[in-house]
Amino acid sequence: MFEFFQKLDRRWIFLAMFLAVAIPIIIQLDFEETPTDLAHRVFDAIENLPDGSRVLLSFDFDPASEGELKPMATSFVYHCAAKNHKMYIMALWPVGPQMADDTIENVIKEDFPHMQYGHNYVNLGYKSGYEGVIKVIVTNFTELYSTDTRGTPWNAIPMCTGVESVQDMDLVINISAGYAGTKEWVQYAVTAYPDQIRMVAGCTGVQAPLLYPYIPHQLEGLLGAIKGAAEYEALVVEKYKLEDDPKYHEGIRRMGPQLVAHLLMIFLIILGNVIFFIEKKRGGRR
Amino acid sequence: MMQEHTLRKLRLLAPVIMIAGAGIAQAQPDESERMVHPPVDLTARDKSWDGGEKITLTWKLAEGDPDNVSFYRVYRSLTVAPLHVRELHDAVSDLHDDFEELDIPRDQLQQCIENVLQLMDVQGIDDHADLYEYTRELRHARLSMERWIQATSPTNAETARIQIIRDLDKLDDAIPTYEAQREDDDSETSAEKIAMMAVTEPVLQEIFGDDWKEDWEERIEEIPQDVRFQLLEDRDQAEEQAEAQVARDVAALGNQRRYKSIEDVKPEEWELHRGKMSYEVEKLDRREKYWFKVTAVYVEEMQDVGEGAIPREYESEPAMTVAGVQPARQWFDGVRFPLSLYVLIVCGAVMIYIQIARSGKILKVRTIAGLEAVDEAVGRATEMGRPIMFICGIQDMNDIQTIAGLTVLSRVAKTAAEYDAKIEVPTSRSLVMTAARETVQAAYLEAGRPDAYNEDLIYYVTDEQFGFVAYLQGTMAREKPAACFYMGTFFAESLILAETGNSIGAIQVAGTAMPAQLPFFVAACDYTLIGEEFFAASAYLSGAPEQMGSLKGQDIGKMVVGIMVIIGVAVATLASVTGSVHLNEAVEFIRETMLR
Amino acid sequence: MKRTIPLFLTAIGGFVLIIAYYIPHTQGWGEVAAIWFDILAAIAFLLGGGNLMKIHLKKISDHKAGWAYSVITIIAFLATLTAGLGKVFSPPSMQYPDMAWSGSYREIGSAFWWLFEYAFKPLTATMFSMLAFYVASAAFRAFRAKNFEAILLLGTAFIILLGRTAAANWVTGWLPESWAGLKLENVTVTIMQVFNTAGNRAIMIGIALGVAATSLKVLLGVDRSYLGGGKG
Repeated sequence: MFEFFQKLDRRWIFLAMFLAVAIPIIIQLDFEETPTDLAHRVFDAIENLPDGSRVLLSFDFDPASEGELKPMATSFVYHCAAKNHKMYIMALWPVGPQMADDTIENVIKEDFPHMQYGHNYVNLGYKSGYEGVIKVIVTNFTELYSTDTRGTPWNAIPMCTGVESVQDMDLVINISAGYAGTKEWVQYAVTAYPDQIRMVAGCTGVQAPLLYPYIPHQLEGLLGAIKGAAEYEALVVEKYKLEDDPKYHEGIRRMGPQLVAHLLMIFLIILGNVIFFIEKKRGGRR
Repeated sequence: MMQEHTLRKLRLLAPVIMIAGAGIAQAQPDESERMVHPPVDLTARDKSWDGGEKITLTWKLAEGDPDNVSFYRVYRSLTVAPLHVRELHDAVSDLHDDFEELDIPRDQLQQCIENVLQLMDVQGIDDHADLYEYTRELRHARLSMERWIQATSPTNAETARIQIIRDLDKLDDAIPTYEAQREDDDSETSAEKIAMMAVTEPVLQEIFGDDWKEDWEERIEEIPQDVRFQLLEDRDQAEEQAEAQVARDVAALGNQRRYKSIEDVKPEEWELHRGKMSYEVEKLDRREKYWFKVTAVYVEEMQDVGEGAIPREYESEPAMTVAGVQPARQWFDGVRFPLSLYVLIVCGAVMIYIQIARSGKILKVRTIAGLEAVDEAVGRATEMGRPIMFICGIQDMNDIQTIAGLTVLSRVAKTAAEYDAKIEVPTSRSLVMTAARETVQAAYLEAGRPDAYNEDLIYYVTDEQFGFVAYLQGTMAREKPAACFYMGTFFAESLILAETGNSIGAIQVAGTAMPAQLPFFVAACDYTLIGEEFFAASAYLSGAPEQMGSLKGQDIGKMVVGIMVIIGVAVATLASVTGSVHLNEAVEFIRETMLR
Repeated sequence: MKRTIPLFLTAIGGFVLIIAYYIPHTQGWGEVAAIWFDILAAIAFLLGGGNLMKIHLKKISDHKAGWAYSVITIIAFLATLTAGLGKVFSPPSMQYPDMAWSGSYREIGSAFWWLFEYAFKPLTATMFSMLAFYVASAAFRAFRAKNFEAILLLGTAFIILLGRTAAANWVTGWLPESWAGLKLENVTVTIMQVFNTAGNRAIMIGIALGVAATSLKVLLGVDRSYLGGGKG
């Protein structure tokens, strides 16, 4: 037995992890979320804006991190739409516009069919140049975004008239999977214009620890990984009575597998250490 | 005839200015017996050493009980925009002409124009962003008029439509002209341009026919000389008139200045002690003059007004600046001065130590296990007859980590050439591939084995992060390299690569400056160069004295940072414990000036 | 000469941009340099594509091990390129409904969109999700309580792992509000915000200085190994 664990083939671990994730998904294991302060801050930043405010949403992620970030994007867009905010959607990642299109299809077109493209929301698309894009649009949108993703000239988009730069936005929401993302937005937009630009963000778990130093001055709130998404989702669901719509429960639904997977990790670490100590006691090789 | 037209336009401008002027925000008079004293001695001056977008305001606090003031409200004058008024006015005036020609009842026409003028006054005229807003409103007004025309007189509809479209185009043209003028201070103002073109256009049309716009510049010589002189004269006259009108507009609007509140500033405890406050107004346009006023505001406490009631605000008389201040752009951005100082210290130290090292002084560097392992890893690969895999991260050549990675590659490739081991370098950017080929080729040459260099082993895979990872995983599983080096910028793929490498039993050495990926590399690789060690690698591996010097210079930078951290923490702690004015000023200086 | 010109360009470009950062009149130069780089990188796509074809075609012709994968790579590459450049099945844009090629290459319903949606997206997500398996096996293998520091690290890991799930509520949910700071989810945030940040900052300062020194060496031409010239 000990021998088996000592030389445990990693494929057993892979199998255990597969089951730890698959079983909770199949039996739809989920738990109630208690939102932490950070999620409340994100929620309040959007909720407390006057109805019809201008919100810039930057979709800086790709399909790889969709699992963590899509639930956030869905809730962000729902929340903004419910508040009737004007949504200016853009991306620093090449596939960002596709991720945005997906969310627009699922949220705006399904649940807010009265919202008009160009009046209530606009997809400005992707621009290459990473933080360079932020540096430019923070003072002038039209220098880079002469048209939206459909090729409509900037001045012909009704909701873009009177918008000159990011500073004209009432809030910036960034959904980020890495570089370029939240850190660059903080460094080149919020830090450069602390009085004009307010920002909240949702990011992957790996990034979150690096962004905590920016809270609360440069970042009003932060949703870290699926946990943050679930907390924020819980707040949106509660406020807008979305208990029956499964697409607004994606984050909460993913917390079940996450719990079991984390417990498995703890078990594996303990198991590894037990083996380590037994080996040590027996005076065996490390 | 032309002049009459222009004059009529100018006359029409008068009501616009009057309407614009009527909305002047006056300081609200105190609504009850509560007296709030105004601040005094308000001064505004251009912030020196900046990019020309800031003005600093200072004022002495209001007399009397400081608890009587909740905060100070800062107002700035709206930028006077006679040019916007003029462009819009021209549009209205053209509209006027169109309708006159179409023989539409005057009262209907008047109503339309009134509507447009009213729309223009809705929000006052501020920054030129508003121009778009007005243009849009104007379009709406025009469209409604168009509908009206179609309904009443179908025969006139087509003519009106063409006319209106033509005018809208003109308006569209006016905006870029205006924008261009804002870009270039020396060019004529758009109002003048419009006035000049208004004079020249009909003459040119008469001479060259309807398609005069296409080549009139080349055919200018064809205009008879007397007509040309007359044209120039008319043009100059129109320009003069337009200039005079712009000056009058500025004067008229300038006398009745409009303000908007920009910030409510709450005095800090230490500012109350000092009796003086300052505030930096940002995001100003250096082509405009600004006036400011500051009022003291008292807001009733919530417990005084009771649940549900809205607390009342009491605002004092304003303190105002008398002369307009224009922000100026200096040749050096002073906000960045402290940063330039650090740059000079760090770079200076690096350069001095490089010189010292060149002069023959021996500098010592601690052993970095990860780099010591390079020879061992290459040796093992040779013994086992398996290749070495080297990955320079997934970013392009503009990332300094990629360059640091290539530096390590240079050494690894040289060792590989000496041992006659095969080194494979898949890259995720084509520029990196080209650079890596140069590096490896030079390393083989240096090792005296140029014949062993195989260009095909250094190749491009894909820019796509996970596509690249999938390729690497597949190659690792099939070829089973004996040693894997990961040197550069990595993201989520770090652990996937390192675990795959571990599963095939390769010796793995990683180096990155991505803090989030370091734990993964540390857990799964045999050796990891953490952050600065990775950058020190080239110096360490080359052993060249000047490279060692640069490391020593870096240490001086670290000492400066350390000292500053200690000073900053000490001052901030003391300031918050003692509440001393001077210490708080010092903290603010550190935060706002040194760390900006 | 082959080394001197690149070094000269590097030095001029680098120093001009550093100085431009401090002079308001020239602050747009950085953007210009970034645009130049974008142009170069765009041209490099051709270089990359050409190299990809060359390597894989050679593999196929030599019948090297795994040459079938190269066939798949080339087919996938050409198919995606054609779908994107040719705007295959891409509906025209709403502004110009009569123009066949006016729509975006990734318009819903186009061949490129289909490839993205049903091939690229699931494949990328699969690659990313493999992390879960590797994290587990790495944790099992590497997380050993070898010394005091490692024990501290282990304890912290357990707190974070539990604090990021609903388990936090089971373990410490009973604590009264006045002890809220000790609830696992809040302890997690404190660990991340205070301890982790402190450590991270130290690493970041070291990295920043390393970046500065390396950049300076590159600009001064002290370190030119990336150009393929060790000694120079």
